[in-house]
Amino acid sequence: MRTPVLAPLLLILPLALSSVSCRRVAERMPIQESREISEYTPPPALDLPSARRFREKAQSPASDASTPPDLSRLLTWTVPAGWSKPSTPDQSMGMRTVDLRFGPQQEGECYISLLPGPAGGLEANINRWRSQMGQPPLTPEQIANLPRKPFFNRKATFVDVEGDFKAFGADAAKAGYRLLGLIDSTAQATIFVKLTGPKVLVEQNTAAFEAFCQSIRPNLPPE
Amino acid sequence: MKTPHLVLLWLALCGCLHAAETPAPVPASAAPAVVAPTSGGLPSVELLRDKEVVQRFAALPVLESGRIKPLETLASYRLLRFRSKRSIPLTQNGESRGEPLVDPVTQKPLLSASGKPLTLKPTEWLLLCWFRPDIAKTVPLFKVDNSSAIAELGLPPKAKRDQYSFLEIDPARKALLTKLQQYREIPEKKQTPEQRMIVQLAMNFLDFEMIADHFNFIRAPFGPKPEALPPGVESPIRLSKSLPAVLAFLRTSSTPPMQIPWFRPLGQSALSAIMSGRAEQQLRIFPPIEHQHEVWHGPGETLLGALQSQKDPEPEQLSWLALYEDVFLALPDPAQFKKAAAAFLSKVQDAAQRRNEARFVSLEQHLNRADYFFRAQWIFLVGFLTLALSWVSPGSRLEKITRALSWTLLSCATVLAVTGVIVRCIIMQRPPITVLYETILFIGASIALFGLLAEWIAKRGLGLLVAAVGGTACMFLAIQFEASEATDTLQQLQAVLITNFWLSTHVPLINLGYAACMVAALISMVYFLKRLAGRLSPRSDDARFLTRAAYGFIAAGLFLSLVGTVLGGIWANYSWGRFWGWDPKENGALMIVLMCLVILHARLGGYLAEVGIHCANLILGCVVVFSWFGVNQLGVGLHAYGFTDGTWPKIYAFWLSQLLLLGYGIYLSFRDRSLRASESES
Amino acid sequence: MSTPAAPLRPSLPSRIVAFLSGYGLASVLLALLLLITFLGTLEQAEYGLVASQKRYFESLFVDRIDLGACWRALALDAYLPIGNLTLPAFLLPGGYALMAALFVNMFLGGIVRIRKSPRTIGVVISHFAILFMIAAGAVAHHFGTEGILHLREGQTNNEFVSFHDRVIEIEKVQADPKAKRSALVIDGALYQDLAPGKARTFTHESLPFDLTLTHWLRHARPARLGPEASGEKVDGFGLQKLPHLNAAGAAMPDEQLLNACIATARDKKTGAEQKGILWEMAAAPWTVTFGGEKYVIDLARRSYRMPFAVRLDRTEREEHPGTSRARRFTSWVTKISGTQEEKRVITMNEPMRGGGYAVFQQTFDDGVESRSGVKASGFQIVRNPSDHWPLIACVVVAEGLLLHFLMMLARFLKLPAWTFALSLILAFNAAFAVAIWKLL
Repeated sequence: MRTPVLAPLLLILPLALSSVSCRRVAERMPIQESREISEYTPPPALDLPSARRFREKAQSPASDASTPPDLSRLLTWTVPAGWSKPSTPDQSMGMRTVDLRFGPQQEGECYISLLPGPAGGLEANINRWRSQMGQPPLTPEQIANLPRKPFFNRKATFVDVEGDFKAFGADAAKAGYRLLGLIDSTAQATIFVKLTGPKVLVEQNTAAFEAFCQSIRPNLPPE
Repeated sequence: MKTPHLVLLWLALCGCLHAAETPAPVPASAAPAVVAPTSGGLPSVELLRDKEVVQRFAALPVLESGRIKPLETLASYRLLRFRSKRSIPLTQNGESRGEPLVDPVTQKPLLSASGKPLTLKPTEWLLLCWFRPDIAKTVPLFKVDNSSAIAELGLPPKAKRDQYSFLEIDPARKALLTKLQQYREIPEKKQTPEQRMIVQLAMNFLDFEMIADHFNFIRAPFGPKPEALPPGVESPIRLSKSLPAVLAFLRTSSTPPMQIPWFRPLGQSALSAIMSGRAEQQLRIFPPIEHQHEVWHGPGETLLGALQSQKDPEPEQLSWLALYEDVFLALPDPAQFKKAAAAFLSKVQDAAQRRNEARFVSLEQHLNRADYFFRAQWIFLVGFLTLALSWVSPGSRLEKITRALSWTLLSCATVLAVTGVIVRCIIMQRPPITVLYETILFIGASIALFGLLAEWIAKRGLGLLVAAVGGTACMFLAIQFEASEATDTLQQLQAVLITNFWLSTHVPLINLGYAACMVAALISMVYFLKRLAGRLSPRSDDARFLTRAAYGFIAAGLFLSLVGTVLGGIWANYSWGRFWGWDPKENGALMIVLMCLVILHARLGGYLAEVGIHCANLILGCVVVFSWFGVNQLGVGLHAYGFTDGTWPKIYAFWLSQLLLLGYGIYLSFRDRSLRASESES
Repeated sequence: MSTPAAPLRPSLPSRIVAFLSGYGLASVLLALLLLITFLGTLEQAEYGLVASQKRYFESLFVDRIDLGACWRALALDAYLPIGNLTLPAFLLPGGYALMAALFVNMFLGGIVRIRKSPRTIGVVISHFAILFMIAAGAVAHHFGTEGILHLREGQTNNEFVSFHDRVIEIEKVQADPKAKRSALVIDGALYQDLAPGKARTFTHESLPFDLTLTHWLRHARPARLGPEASGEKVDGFGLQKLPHLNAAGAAMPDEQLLNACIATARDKKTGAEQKGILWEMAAAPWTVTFGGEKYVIDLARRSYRMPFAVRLDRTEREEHPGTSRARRFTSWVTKISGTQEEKRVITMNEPMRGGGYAVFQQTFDDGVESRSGVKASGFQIVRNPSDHWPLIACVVVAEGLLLHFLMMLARFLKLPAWTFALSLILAFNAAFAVAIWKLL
């Protein structure tokens, strides 16, 4: 091939040189650009500590790569006054995302469980709870007519059962118990909030349960 | 795509991988003991090879990988994945001419009527696995290309490349599964060949075990010695009847399921019933009545779904399951078995028909049987040999006859290849090219068509040669490619690609462009080989013809690639908003266009004469191969749809051959020039 | 010179024009374009698409060629490892320069100086169309914008963000939540050269402080440093550089890289300093307080405003039955222009167009993997003044090339050229029209 390769290079060289030379940036320079911020942009979170700004994970002894992801980080909630974390370790094999106790002997239990998928569906879960309380299952129509409460930006089914409570894996039923529960089931995930305890104790804590349910929110990462 | 392997999940759940905590799983060699007399007895191998039986099962519509296909296709790809072949001989060494295997029931060797060892087709093999796992587990099945992988598992290796039966691998099960877990953590590109081999072997091993244990949910759903069965479960156990009772028991039971003695065997048989560790490849053969319910049910899905959700399956699912059980329980009586199989098949077919589905199952069976591309490959090859015969004595009657014969053969082969491509389009109801495999078929057929067209225009034998070489090479490549991928080549499309207009304009045009450029490159190869053989002198009439033909195909290649590439950009612009993204596949197409333009402009400027054009064409061929196969290997970008191991060595072999020819071409151009100089001096 | 020598020695200008319009120049330019396309494609494996695009295809000169990376992309290191080999010099012209030169060459050679006859009309037409296409590319490159808008179900926005351009924004916090908000913007090009050791100060009359930027990193994360650790420390954190390659050794896409830098705000009056880390993934901007006024400073993607807002009402993903392979993503949105609301559907291959913008369904999030619990869609937003130019160019170039090559074929076959070519073109167009009618 006879064509001089240099020729096109010569053609382009001045262009290239000019572009390189105008790129110099002064060490002190005025800001020249500004923009309006959309009315849809949420106001910024102010004065956050560095640890939260940089999404530092809370250091806990159990947290290492091999443990399953901590589902509780998906939710935020407010623990009602007088409720606390259980003193005994979690016996539910990680089914409970949040586990709380209340009452004089910590006999009242309340937990949130977050499972992927429909988790068996509303009907099966409500009837599972009813069977734990020693009550007969409900028909689909009855379930459809159960009261609903606003929860998690939607309406969740509310369950209120009295009876003798025989927990999963327990040997004997405890008499005179009451169960309050909310189930919100979608194709992607199902959230259970379940409160059990002796009737009187549950009575005292009904308002706290309501408030607790209202306080549960998805823990969305900021934009 | 890496879907979690369900078996692994299950094993991890059961704690089988931590053998210290739980009793070891029942060794598979105890399989005959598992076959409890509660269900039908063992059928004879003759019954499983019976034409009527095989035909019935082969035609069973199955929903797998998002597509409804005959069971035959499923069986054929499973077998292809395990042993890189679509047939399997029942011999000790896995070769068709080995010692025949012995039926453990009759203690007689398994021979055909003519006294030769049996060789099974995919459906026959699947039936053997299902109904005679005792034999299927002794057949050398898993192809291992690297005996050091076998040694790493602590097993006695056979030859460097050999085949191993399930029972030969089974002693190393624990090592195999531990290593599988370990190596799967390593990204695929960083695995050593041994590691890759072990991962592949382990996956195949587990998948085969699920096939062989498929009917365990009828044979022995609660393990070999069921005890403490829930109330309402009666012998003979049929899960279609007793599943609700089992679930009711589980729902009310206060014992954690894992502590119930029969729960683990039940879970494992449910898992085997789904028949694949890959979620989308599980066996789905029960078309639902509800039309809006798109996903078919299956035996495993019904059982496993019920166990997971503890919810009763739909009555429809249970009645399907009952029908399916009937087929198995009709054994070993041949007449009853045939009746039950026929009843089940016609039920499935009717249900599918009511859903207006499975319309092309019989066409696909025809495609499987006709094996268009395999036949085309051989006819192309014979056509090539006939053509070669015509070079023996130019001008003779032999030449005329052989050339006509070659014409006919190559036309037949081309028709076969084109028909195959069209049948595939009809089955999938979409344009011809969506995956890399299909580009090979399409380009092969196009090169052959181009060659025949060229021959029709100028009857000089060149077109025939192009058609024969291109056709044979592409069909061979396609068959190799299919065997190495061993997944169904009729795939459902990713969301972004679903648009028939662009798929039937942009993609075929680009591939026609590849084909035209490859033809140009082929012609240049012919040019140099002829020069090398001393059958062609520069600037002779023949040489000039070759140059003109090559030039014509470059022009066609430019037109097709340019328009195809730009259409691709327009598609991208209208569908997802960017005309050009410098994606590797786009760049590959652009490189072809640029190379064509370079050749045409350099030719017009007088920089490339005869030898120069042909040299440049060789480079064009290399660019096409890079753009066709190479860019997929770079592993970046939107179009990286076909990842195949060991493609680079093949590309390099091609490039190297072209480089050698190119070197010869450069030598020729200098020699021609000095010859011309000395001619003009004298 | 590439043109054949004329009998009389031509003048210098005409020789320059002859050179600029010559086949030789065309061939060399095209071959160089081929070469940089090849190298640029190979380098994508380790540098990612955006970096290689900037270096090879949008540049005037390729400032360096990483032959080692190209070698590895071709898997040649399996045969012969060559290690890291970089050609540092300006050896090759970049894509932008080559396209510009090609434009000139094609204009002069393919349109102005070409011998005009019925035989070359096809060539002229196709050259013209290609010129138009290059022009379309230039217009899109200089005047178009594109970016992405992520919306959760129920969310509304009228701003989208760039895929690749990062800026630093300073906003004064206002007490009134309804007040109009605005931010000062520092373009990425003004600070992305600040390797550790270099610093630059940005000022504005409305700010009570000057902002000094240092330690810019392309991909990093703030990590808590122990007391013994050296280096810049802010609030116990320092910047930790992260590798650009993923576990398989391939380049991470630019979208996944997390820019970071250290900023110091210095009070204009007192000289008191506050130091903070700016990071793309930060959960909130950095807040500084000067004399009771709060300012937030953030490193983010550049935002663009649209003349309308989009609200995502509902979004769905369809799968091929029994698989996790997507068959279709669809979003039901409301387009809000002022007080006017309009319901629209956006799905794969069917964008929403209007107002000079096109909104494409690009990504989908079912809320499970991202763990947000809410379904969301990512929309690619494109504003491109030359949106439809390539289509026109493609039609014209196709007709031109067809005409030319069919006439060549006709002459080869000794058939009447015009009749042959035109009738075949007519047939092709008819076939294409049928395809559009039946399939689109």
